[in-house]
Amino acid sequence: MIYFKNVSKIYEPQSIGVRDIHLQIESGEFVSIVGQSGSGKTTLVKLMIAEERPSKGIVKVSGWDIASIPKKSVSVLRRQIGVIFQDFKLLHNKTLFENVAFALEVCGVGNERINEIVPQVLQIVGLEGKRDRYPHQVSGGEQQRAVIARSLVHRPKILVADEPTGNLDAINTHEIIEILKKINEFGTTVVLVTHNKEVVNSLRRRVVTLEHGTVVSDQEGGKYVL
Amino acid sequence: MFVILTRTVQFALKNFYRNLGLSLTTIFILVLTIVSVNTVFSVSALAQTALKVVESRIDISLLFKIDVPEDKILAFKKTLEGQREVAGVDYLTRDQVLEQFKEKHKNNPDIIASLNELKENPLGASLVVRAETTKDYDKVLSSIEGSEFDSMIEKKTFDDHAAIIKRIGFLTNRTKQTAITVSIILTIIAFLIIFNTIRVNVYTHREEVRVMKLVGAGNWFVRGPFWIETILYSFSAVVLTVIIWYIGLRFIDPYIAQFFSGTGFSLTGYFNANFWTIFGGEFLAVAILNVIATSLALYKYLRV
Ligand SMILES: Nc1ncnc2c1ncn2[C@@H]1O[C@H](COP(=O)(O)OP(=O)(O)OP(=O)(O)O)[C@@H](O)[C@H]1O
Ligand SMILES: [Mg+2]
Repeated sequence: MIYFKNVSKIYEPQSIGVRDIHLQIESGEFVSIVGQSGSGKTTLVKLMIAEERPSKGIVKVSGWDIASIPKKSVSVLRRQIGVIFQDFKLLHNKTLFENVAFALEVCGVGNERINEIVPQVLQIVGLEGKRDRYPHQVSGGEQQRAVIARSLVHRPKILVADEPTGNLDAINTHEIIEILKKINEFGTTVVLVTHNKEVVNSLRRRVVTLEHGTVVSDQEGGKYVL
Repeated sequence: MFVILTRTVQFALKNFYRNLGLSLTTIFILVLTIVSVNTVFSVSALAQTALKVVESRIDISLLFKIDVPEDKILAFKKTLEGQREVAGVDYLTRDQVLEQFKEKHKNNPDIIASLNELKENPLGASLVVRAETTKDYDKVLSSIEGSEFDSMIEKKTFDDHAAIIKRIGFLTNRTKQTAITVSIILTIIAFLIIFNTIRVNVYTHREEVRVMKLVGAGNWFVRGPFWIETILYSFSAVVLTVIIWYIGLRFIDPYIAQFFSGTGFSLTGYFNANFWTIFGGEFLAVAILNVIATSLALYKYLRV
């Protein structure tokens, strides 16, 4: 499903994103990626969604070779990957419903399908009662849930979440993680980048630890070991 | 497909309203540019008509001696009409020539008085020769001089209005040059303004664009609205210019009709006759200008 072989990403000669990464993630897995700031976690995520191309090595995501993926196929790939980024916010001038619908609109999905899918995904994240509120009218945790709902509209095979609980308190963090677990149970591969020790330890799933751009540990049922 | 089109148009319209001030500025400067280009066209059309009017007044007038019989003159008329360079020949009888002469000098009582003193008509018959083009007059003149009829001619008058033609040409060139310079400057300004408008639009939509890219929107959805918007600018600018221009013509045309009385020329008529060529061409030119500026702005600020 996701396959890194001997991958390096060098932004500039002095600025190295990741180095010599070997990593394989199978369909249906729930993988946490941990590591200190600047260790290359976001770089890894950007390589998965073809926002960055590898400087060296092979990256394959659901069959696509990221090093040579044509521009046109990038949008096809991204419909198969749900993305949650810290800087990937809701649009403030649209309601939660409209925000989620927007992701379908710009992919040319018809209005009927939109009215069918959006309530479904809003229900998955428990926001069906707040669909007509604007982002500033809901809490940070609810905003993040709406972001997750938006990432689900194409029924992605992979969900990549880069610090989805970054600014949230323990209760909201817990709720978000429960939603991610639920999505994983539906069969979606989940890649979770996080700083949160409790989250990783309570998950008891595979943990990949990065340090200075390389994988220093990769354990099934792992713990946060920094 | 239909969904994609209607949505892109919707997004484009939203863009338009979101930066309304900027959109209007862009259209305003485009209108100015088109108006100044129209001025170039108008000056050309006016100059051409003026030249035609002057040229139509060029002719060779041959005044025959009093005793030349009419049939000889008519025979001469026939030979002249047979020449390739001659466009037409009018025959004026002695009485008609006298009429014209009186008409021409009706404000000069001395001449009229002395004419009335004479019992006989002192003027001969006349032929008025018009050549095909202004350049042909020399040929026609020399052929007359070389012919057997030359001895029957009392007086040849040929006024080529060279001074006036030169003056019209000079004025036209000067006005045209100014208008063209202004048009070029405005075009450059318009280009920069469009570029900036699209740049600002991309900037105001950076969040939407980021969302679109990350959720896998096709390239058309990301760029389409900017393209449609730019075409919208071109179209509104041309339509607005048409309206403004025709209102302006209503005020100008009476003066022009007066100046060119008798020719039936009017700027409104000119623009009506060439409506699609002029305004269609201008729309095309403005659209191309817009598309180039937009491509540059998108290339620079909307890396996908
Ligand atoms: N666009 C870029 N240009 C140059 N260097 C970059 C760029 N993006 C990241 N880097 C560098 O690559 C390294 C890894 O960055 P990355 O963002 O992947 O770290 P991270 O593990 O996500 O950190 P954080 O936990 O703070 O989000 C850092 O040293 C960073 O400075
Ligand atoms: Mg990061």
